[in-house]
Amino acid sequence: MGIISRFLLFFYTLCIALLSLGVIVLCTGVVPADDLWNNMLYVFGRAETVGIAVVVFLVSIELMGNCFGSKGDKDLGTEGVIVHGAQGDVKISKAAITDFCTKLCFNIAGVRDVKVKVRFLKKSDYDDPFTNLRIRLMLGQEYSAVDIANEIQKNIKEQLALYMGLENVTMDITVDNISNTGSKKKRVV
Amino acid sequence: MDTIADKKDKKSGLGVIRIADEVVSIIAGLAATEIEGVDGMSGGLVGGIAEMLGRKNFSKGVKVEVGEQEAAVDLYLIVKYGVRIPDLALLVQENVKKAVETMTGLHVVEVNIHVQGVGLPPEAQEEKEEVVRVR
Repeated sequence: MGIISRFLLFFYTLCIALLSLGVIVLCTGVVPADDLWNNMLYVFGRAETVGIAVVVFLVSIELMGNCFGSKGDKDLGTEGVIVHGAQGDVKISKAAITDFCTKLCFNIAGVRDVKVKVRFLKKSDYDDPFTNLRIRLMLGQEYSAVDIANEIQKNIKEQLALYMGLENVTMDITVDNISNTGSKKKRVV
Repeated sequence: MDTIADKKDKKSGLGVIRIADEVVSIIAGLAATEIEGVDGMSGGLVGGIAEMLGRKNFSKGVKVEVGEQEAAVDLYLIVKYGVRIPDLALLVQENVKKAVETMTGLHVVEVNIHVQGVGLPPEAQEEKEEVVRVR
């Protein structure tokens, strides 16, 4: 849980603790109920009470989100580190990898359109970072989707390792659409 | 013999030597673009507009932190397609470090490279698939 969520949880539990304390006081009769009721009516009549109630409600939603949210891979931002050397770091941006992969995909026969999404992720603080590619393709109808997908995976992984030094790459390929347009053929030699 | 860094801000009979950040940026930018495989430097919108108006910006894509004796450089590059980036980055780091240290006397503690894009060769235009008109 992040530091902000911890702070919100502290604030939330503090509110619950005060509320439960109020209930205890009411139930044990330490403070007369009439006095307490008059004070509560006064508090409910103030505008600040609405503000505090809204804040507590929003904090509840946020903490509920933390409970139900899945612990996915941690996104490392817009740049991935290729080399961490004595002279400095070498980083590569998502845009560079996207352009590179897009070009590689268009070089393969049968690919009509491609969209590439790149993420630099890490499973946990103790794991090595890896690069995840999500590739959405539009293919020509005369080509085998399985063969093209295999070729793209093999080609991209080899080229990224060779030219960018990215070894840990995972790839998800989706064939979005099949195009009806035919391939360009020369009519004359 | 004192280096320029040692003399920096030292009052002598001749005066004080101070090296502006932009000077270091320009030296680093020129040293980076000298390396074969670097397609260019990646600058922001302002840099791009200034270049369109004909003003050369030699410190485009370069950020420096200059102290009294040390400097740290961040370079934002576009590399040519087909170049092995880790090898190219090492050459750039060495050349920039050497150039800055030689010309200014500052000790370069790190040269960080940020690859922002891959420059595609002009002949590698994507072939558009044409609709076949006859069967």
